Amino acid sequence: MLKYILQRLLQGLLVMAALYTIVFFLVGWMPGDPFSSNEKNISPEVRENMKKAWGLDKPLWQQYLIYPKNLITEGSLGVSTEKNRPVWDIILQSFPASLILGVSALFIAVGIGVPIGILSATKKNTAIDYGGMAIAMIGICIPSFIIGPVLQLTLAAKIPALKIAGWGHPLDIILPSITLGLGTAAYLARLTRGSMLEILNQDYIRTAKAKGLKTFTVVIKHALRGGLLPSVAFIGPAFAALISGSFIVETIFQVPGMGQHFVNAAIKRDPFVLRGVVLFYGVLIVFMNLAADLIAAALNPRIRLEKT
Amino acid sequence: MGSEYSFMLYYIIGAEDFHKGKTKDFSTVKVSAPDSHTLKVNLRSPIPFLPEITKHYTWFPVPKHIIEKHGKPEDRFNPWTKPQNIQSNGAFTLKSWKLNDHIEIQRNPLYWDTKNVALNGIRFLPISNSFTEDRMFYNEQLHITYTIAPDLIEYSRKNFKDMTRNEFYFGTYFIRCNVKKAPLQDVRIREALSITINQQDIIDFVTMGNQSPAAGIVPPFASYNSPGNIKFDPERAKKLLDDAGYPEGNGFPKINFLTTDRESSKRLAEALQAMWKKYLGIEISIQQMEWTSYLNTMMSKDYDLAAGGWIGDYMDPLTFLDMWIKDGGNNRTNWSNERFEELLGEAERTAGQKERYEILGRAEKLFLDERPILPIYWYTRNYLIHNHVKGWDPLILDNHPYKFLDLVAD
Repeated sequence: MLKYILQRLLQGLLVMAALYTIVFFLVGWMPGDPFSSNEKNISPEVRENMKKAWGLDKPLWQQYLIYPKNLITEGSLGVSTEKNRPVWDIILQSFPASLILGVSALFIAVGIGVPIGILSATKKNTAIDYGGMAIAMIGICIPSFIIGPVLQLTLAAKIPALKIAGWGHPLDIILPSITLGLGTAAYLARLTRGSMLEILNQDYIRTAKAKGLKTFTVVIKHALRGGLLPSVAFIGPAFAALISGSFIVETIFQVPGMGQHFVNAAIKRDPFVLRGVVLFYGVLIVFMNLAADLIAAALNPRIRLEKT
Repeated sequence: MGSEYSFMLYYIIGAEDFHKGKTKDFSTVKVSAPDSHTLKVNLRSPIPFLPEITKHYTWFPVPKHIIEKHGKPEDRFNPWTKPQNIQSNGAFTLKSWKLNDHIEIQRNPLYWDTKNVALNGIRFLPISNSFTEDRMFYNEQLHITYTIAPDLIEYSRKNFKDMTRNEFYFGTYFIRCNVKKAPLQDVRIREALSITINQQDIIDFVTMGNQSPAAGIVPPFASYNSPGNIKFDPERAKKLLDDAGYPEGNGFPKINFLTTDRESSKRLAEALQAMWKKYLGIEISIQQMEWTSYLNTMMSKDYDLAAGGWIGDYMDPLTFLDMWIKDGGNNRTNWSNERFEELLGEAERTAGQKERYEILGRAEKLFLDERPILPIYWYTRNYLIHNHVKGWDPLILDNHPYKFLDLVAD
């Protein structure tokens, strides 16, 4: 087991190195530089000074090596060219909001998606199944920039305790996490239904039913364990995606999360924020995938045997 | 040190040379503080608008001892502006600052006039989505908004009539012409394009913000008499196009119109495309680009026509005129004119405001006659303000002194 984890972590390091390389050169190739994203032009002398201050005057290959070196020796992700603040500062200020939002969205996704999936599978080809899948389809098809404003106009405008947007009160979490979680809920519902249907047709389920067990016991005790496997595999990366922030949900609900920094850094050509945030996401996704695999192994003895 | 607004201090003798690295000796910059309440500046020419310039934030005093306590003034990241470090001398001081979340200021008990400051504090929210901002206002979460989304202006006027403001703002929206690219090197073509823009229709149906049709580049203000008289005149435009060798637009090459990737930019570009097709019979293709790419394409002059705008930095026509000098960083049109620059130089040497305005007016007239840009509208600011907010007056530069604000329930 330990060997497997170590192996995966080493793979993760390789992934991070590749990720860094790709991001570094993609940012380098984008037209413009961090000091040309302002309507007012700056004089060549000033531009050179600014580049020097951020070390962007050095040859690209040197910059490519300096960044990881600073990260390892000083733990520094650089200073934002746009906000003039250390990138760590920006990540640490914005990540808690993204984490809270992502976790709540995941709870909503699992809380809505999995039950609908199970119910649809057990009541296959009935009105409940069609209804559940129709809702899931709508959830997948309607983008968050529609769901968000609709929730603002219907719920927030009517219920005094809910605010249109903002992030200061525990109740402020509700609407953005519903908006963010609904799409994932819909995927989960479809995934769960599909795999549950497959499991429910297996021989051991028929045996359980033949023993005279109640449908509820059969589903919860026997079918669910296998039926949830694809969903668990999906939840790992989905969770990473949810907590890494969503630009759209953040801007609609004024959530001070990481998604906005990511998009703005790309627009403003802020190389340090872009690299820092991408590496941070990368580490997150590597760990979430690993966690998902470990949970899947715990649920499925066959995987455990193959991998250890 | 790099900073985009350093030119605001170039009026001081020696400042430009020092900033551009021509000298390392700061004593060549003629600025001093003989005592703690006096600032002495030697200017390189008489500048009647100096009081206006000093309102700009580049001229605000900063506490040297605090900056030096937390690092060097030229440090990339000097943490003296963090809430726990900063010291300031205004009516309010910084209480907390969280990126993308809020900035909060509180009343400064040490301010010289603190007894006349009504508010205990103000919270600023950086809301990038204007729909969210407006909905928050409708739901009584905000006292003042920065803007109103164009699609919500009509709704606001109807439902929040006494709280919807529409005020003049010191800015101009225009289109740059790349005057080195055929056929735009011909002033007749540029004028024809300019006067077939139905400015009022754009304001009424596209921007919907009650802007004013721009007759020139400098928005009307104070005692400056704008020489601009650009008006919609398709008949004259047809004749100009005919004279230039393209009767009814025949043989006119297809040109590009560069604009940003915003939805509003696209709508405006499509309106212009339709107008030029209708009145001149010519085709333009719209090229939308993400912000930084758009700016870079414009700066490298790789365009035919490009959308653009300018907000004045201080209350003087010069802030709209001095950008058009030869190879000026904000010119980007390839246009230049020696006479124009002579006039600007003459204005700089003139101390009387009236004479100065008259000279600048001549410079603007010359500029408009050559039409390297096609003015569209003068900006307005549309925003929402709650009835309870008192002491908020319309200001053309939108730089409101918060010390006079108050909240009074009706």
